[in-house]
Formats: sequence, structure tokens, C-alpha cells
Amino acid sequence: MLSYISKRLFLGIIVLLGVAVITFTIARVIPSDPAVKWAGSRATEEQIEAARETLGLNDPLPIQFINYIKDLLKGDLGYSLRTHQPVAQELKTFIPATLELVFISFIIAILLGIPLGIYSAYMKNQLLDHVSRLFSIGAVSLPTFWIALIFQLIFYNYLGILPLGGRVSTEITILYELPDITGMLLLDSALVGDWYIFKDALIHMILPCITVALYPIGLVARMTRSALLEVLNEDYIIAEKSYGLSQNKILWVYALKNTIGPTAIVVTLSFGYTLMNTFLVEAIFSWPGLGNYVATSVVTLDYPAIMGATIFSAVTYILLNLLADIIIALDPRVRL
Amino acid sequence: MTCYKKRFGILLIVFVLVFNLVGCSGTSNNDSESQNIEENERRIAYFSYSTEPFIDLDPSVEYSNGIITLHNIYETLTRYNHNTKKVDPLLATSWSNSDDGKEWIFKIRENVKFHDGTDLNAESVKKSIERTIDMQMGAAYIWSSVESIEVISDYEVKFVLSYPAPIDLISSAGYAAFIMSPKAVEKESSWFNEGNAAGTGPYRLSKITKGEEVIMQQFENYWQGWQENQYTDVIIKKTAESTSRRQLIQKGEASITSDLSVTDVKALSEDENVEVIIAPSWKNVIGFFNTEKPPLDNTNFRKALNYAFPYDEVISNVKEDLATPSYGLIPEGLWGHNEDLPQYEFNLEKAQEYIDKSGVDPSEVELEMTFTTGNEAFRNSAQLYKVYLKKLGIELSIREMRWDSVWQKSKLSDPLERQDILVMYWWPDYPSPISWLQSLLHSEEEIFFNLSYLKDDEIDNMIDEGASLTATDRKKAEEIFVAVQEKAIEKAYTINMYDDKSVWVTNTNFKGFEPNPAYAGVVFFYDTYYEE
Repeated sequence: MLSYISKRLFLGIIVLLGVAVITFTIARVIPSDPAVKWAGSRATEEQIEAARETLGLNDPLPIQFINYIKDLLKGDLGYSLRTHQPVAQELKTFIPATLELVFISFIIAILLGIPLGIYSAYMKNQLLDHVSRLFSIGAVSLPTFWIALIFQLIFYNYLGILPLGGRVSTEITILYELPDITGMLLLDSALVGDWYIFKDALIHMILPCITVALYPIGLVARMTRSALLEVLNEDYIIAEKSYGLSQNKILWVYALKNTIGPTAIVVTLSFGYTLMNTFLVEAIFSWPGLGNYVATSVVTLDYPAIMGATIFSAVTYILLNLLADIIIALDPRVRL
Repeated sequence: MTCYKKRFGILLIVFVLVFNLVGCSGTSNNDSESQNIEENERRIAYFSYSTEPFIDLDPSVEYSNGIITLHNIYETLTRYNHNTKKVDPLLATSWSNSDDGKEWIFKIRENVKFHDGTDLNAESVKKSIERTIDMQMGAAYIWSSVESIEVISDYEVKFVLSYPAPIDLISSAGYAAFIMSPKAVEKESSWFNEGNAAGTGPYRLSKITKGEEVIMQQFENYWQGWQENQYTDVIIKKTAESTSRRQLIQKGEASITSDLSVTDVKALSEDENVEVIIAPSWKNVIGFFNTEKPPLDNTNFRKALNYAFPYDEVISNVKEDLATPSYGLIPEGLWGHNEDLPQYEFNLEKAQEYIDKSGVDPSEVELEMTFTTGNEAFRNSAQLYKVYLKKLGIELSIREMRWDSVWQKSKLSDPLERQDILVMYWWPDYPSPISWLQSLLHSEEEIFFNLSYLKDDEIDNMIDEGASLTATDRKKAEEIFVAVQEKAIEKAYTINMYDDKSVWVTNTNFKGFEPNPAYAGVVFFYDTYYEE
């Protein structure tokens, strides 16, 4: 197992290097002058030339690339052209909020998606199955931004029971010192035992988390259902039925564990996908996360920020892939 | 047995969580509670803003939306009054200049404290401006005339210039004219961006969440003092969606918002719980003709193109009346604006007349119009223009590009490879018509913003004369600037499409707000107050 993980990590490093080369090349090929971006749209020629020098753009391309890789190895992702701040520092600011959002959304997705898939498979072609399939397809296919806006309209505007957006209420932001240990507000407030802020943060998470969770709920439910249907037709299940074992035991103990592999892959990969694709939800719910940061960086062609986010995304995917592989490898039927 | 132990463990955790949640409903059980004591005495103003409330918090660097925050924390020597079209004293109480406009002496207000407790004096003014000049970031160029800054006495500072310039106006600039504490002057940009600040403004920086919000709190020792109904706390918070901002203001959660979609403004106009404020802005939309490329080097043909632009239709249908007709290049509220200036009107017959005069065969003309992508008003205006040009037999191809690409194309060395018409916004960095005239009409050695590529000696001389008179005889300068605009209109170097309006929506209990076009997007919260 250890050699398997080492091999996968080594391959991951090669993939990362490839990503670094591609992002660096694209950033230099696209017709846009980073010096103009750094100095501002009304900058004088002198200001632009000074920016070129500061950013090392007067060096030959190979030297620029070597410097980029050297900095990357030190964890230095360069400076944002828009904000003039270190990209690594900015990512550190924005990633926890998104991680918190996506992490809780996936807990919801797993807790709802797997039982939904199981019961759907168990009651194949019955009313619950039809309803569950309809919900799954709806959750996967409905546009996130539309759902987010509808949620706001219903729960904030009409019912007035949930906040419109943000991580905490305006009053709390102004009147209280928010805990900052990991950057994940829910976790931090729990760690310091400030349940007043915890409750407020939790309430603020309901709408964005449900919005983000809908897609993985649908995905997990459908994947669990189809994997389980296959397993339920296996000989050993029929044998267990003939031994008179209870339906619940067969379903939750014997059948389910053989569907974990494909579901785990779906969950881990869609976690990575969601992490980089929350920008619409973040924009609508004023969530200061990575999605918002990446979207603004793309719109303003802030190359160092885009490259930094891409590297982060690549690392996340590699680690999640590895995790999925390890979960599958835990199955004794799989030969490494 | 083990199974029961596990279940009990899970139940216990759930119980503890639920107990905690129920127990916490109401107030906090730790330090937070003690901070709640003053809650009743606080008045919070909530500005729901369309984008991030700052990009850079360094007052020498920020050249973007961040001024909406900085103008409440820092102050400038003077402030432009768009009603009187003159500058008012702020941190400077009075000023004078030499006859040649190359020396300016400012008397600095006494008994003013920075947020860090140090006193404002001539030295701090000198250091602040010198820091901005030395950093050469953002709008630092506005001080390019300054040769040296001398401290005459504790409360008198002298600007020595290499050429005459209106330092009283420059000191009132929206960007790069902030005065900061001598301790802050020594700091790097990173210090400011960590959420530190030390200005003399009415609010001190309390908390920041990057990309999201800024919280400011009343500065007790503010030199103008405080009234009871003024706001003690201000939060500027990003809410990107127009519909979300509309809901926030309708629900009474936000005190003020701006940049709403036309649909939302219309809907809110009918809501008696909010007030819609529509005010002039200094942002206008200009189409620049490539006068170095045939047939646009032909004045009569350019006039024809001016007559073919549907000004009123664009204002009423595209802008839904949230714009006004342009009278020359200088917008309403700024000295140099003159509504007696001639303006082209939409008249296809006259356009045809000028095409005939120009001798250009319209069927052989295909014009390319470029502008920054994503601007719906530009896109719709261009589509309308295309329809009317087609009636005259002229083809118009519309190219939306990123600003970098628009600008790069406009700077190509071969005039024939550049665009024919470039459409963009213009607004000033400090309250002077020179921002438009010098930047957009004066000849340049290398192309910068003179995107009609003019090399008109007469206009150059008039602008130069007006620029130097700006420092010494503003009335005369204004006359010259009006004459420059008249000349530019006569030669049809540009299409002056429209002047944008700024739209604000406030709660009916949020009073005292008056948009100042010299400071785009800024709410001076000190001027506002709460009224039941």
C-alpha cells in the first residue's frame, strides 16, 4: 500500500509540474500586458516600465520560468496584478470559507444522497423511486444560480426566516470579535465555545450549503442507486435472502459496502469540482470564498492569481484522486 | 454491548450539541456579551455595495473603488463642492498662490488629530504627499508638477512647482491626495492592507474582510465633533447581485445602495419605503474617431457620423433616462461645462447631406467600432447606431474586447490597423476639465489617451494656455476650455454620446446624503444621519 501511495504521489508531482508549465505558457501567450494591469489603466509609461521591472518581465522567458518554479517550490505564488498582494496569502484568506461551505455541503450530500439512493434501489420502480429519481435529476440539472435566487426570494424576502447572505449578521460583524483560528468560522466559533456566533454562522450557512449540496446529492443518490441495483442482483445477496436475513441487514450491511467504491470516487471528484465552481453561489450569497476570488481574477486577467488557484486546484484533485484510490484499494478484491 | 456503547456515545454528542445550541439562543455566553452593552447607543449605517469595498487600502496606491472607504478614514487638504463648482477648505483652512501659479502656500488646520493620536501639522502633509509621489503608484501623476514641498511653519506648507498647476484642485482629488499620520507614512503597503489606517477622517478602520466588507467606527476625537443622530458605525459590504441589494434595501436591512439594474431602479421608484436619488455623475461616454485613417480624416464625413448617432433614443431606450445629453466633453457639475455649446442631433437627412459634401462613397465604407466587453449600454447603443448607419449605406462592425486588447489595438503604429471608432468612459482624477482636454485632445508623442490621434496645433495651444491659467485665472481658463470644446465639436473629432447619471437608493430614515460627482461612488457618512 505504501509503495502504491508513493507511486501515486510521484505521478502527482509530475502532473503538477505539467500544470505549472501549461499555466505559465498560457499566461505569457495571451495578449495582455501584466505591467499595464499592475500599474493601472491610466498609468504613465514610466509607471508601466517600473512595473515591468518590479514583476521581472524584462528577463528572458526561460529565466522567468525558472524563477517562477523556484518561487513555487518555496510556496511563493507571486503577487496579484490587481491587488498587489501575495497570491499565497490571498488564497489562504479565501480558501477556508469555501472549504467550510463545500465540506458541510458534502456532509449533507452524503447524509441525504446515500439513503436516497439506497431506498430508491430498494423500492425500484415504485413511487419513492420515481420521486427520488425526479429529485436527483432536478438537483443535477437545475442551474445553481437560479436555485440560489429562488431560495433568497422565498426564505429571505417572503418568509423572512433566513438571512440573504454573508457569513454572519451585520450586527455580529460589528459588535463582536470573530474567532479566527482556521478561517472556518463554524469550526472556530465551536473551538472557542462561542455558541452565539456559532448559531449565527450556522444559520447563514443553510441556504448556500443546501444550494451547493443539491448537485452532489443528486449525483450520489443516482450513483448509489445504480451501483446498489447491480449488487442486489449478485448471487451472494440472493443466498443471504434465502438464509432469511432481514432486508435491512442485507441492504445496509452486505450490499452497501460493495457500492462504496464508485460512490467514493463520485464524492471525492465532485468535491474537487465543487471547490473550484462555487463562484455563482458565492456571488449570490456574498460568500467571501475562493470562487469569488477566482471569478474576479479571471475577469480581470490577473494571471498570478489564476495560476495560483490552478495550482491549488491541481493539488486538490491529485490528493482527492489519491484518497479515492485508497478507498477503493481498501476493498480486498482490488489488486494494487 | 459494544454496539450500544457506540450508540450511547453518538447520542451523548448529539445531546451536547443540541444543548449548546438551545442554550446559546439569545445571547452569547462569553466575552461577546460584554461587548453587547453599548449596542443600544450605536447607530449602524449599512452600505450594500456591488463590488469589493477596496482593492488596496494604501491611500498612496488605491486607484479604484477603495476610495469609498478611504474618504471616510482619511481627508484631503480641500474638497470639491459641485454646487459652487469651487473647492472648500478641509484640512487646509486657506491657501494662496504666486502670480505665476508656481508656488502655493496652504495653511493647515490646527487641533486636528490623526487616529493614532498624533497631531496634524505641515510636516505630516509634506510627508504624506511626498510618500505618494515617491511610490509612483495609482494616480500619483496628478502631483507631477510638484518640484518640492517645504514646511514654512508648523501649520504652513509650500508647494514649489516646475510649471503652473491648480494645487487647490489637485489637493481635492478623489485619489492620491490623502493625508496620513507621520507614523503611517513610514509603513509599507502591507501594513495598510492588514487592516491598519491612521487618517484624520470621521471614522477609523475597525475590521476588514478582504473582498467582502469594511467596518468603520466613529473617531471620537474627530475635529468637527459629533451630533447624536450621526452614525457610530459604518459597514460597507459587497453584495454582487442587483436583486439581492434591492431586497436588502426594501427589507430595511441596508441603509444605502447603488449600481442597481434599470429594472430594480424602476421597481424601487414605486416603493414608498425607500428613496431613489438620481444625480449627475462625471462619467461620460465618448466615441473617438480615428482621424488618421480615411475616410475619418474627412471632417464632413465625421460630421455625418455625428448626425447619424441616435442620442435621444439611446438615452431614453438604452439608458432608460439614467443619462443626460452631453454638451461638449465636460459633464454637468464641473467648471468648464457649458450648455450653450452646440450639440449634434440625430438627423439622417443632415447626415446624408454631409456624406455628399465629403465626397465619400458610403457603400465602400466599413467601420469598426471597439469597446470593452460586457457593457450592455455600449452594446445596445452600438447596435442602434449600426441600424442607422446601414440606412446611410455604411457598414459598422462591432467588436467587443477586453480593455487591454481595445487599448493595444488603439496604439498600433499603423493607423490603418487601428479601430475606426473607439467608445469608452472618461472621468477625472481631480476636478478639472483639463483631465478631459489634456488627456483626450492634446497631441502626444506616444499614443496614450488621445485616441482620436489629434495633432491640432490650435487646440494644443489653447489647452496649454488654459492649463497654465487654471492655476492663476480660472475664469479665463474656463472660457478657453469652452472654446476648445467648441472647436472639437466643430471639427467633429468625437461623438459625445451621453453623460451618465449616478443612481442611489436609500432608506427613508437615512438622511443627509448628497452624491458628489467629484468622488464617484463615495458616501461621506459624516454628512449623513438617522431620522425616525
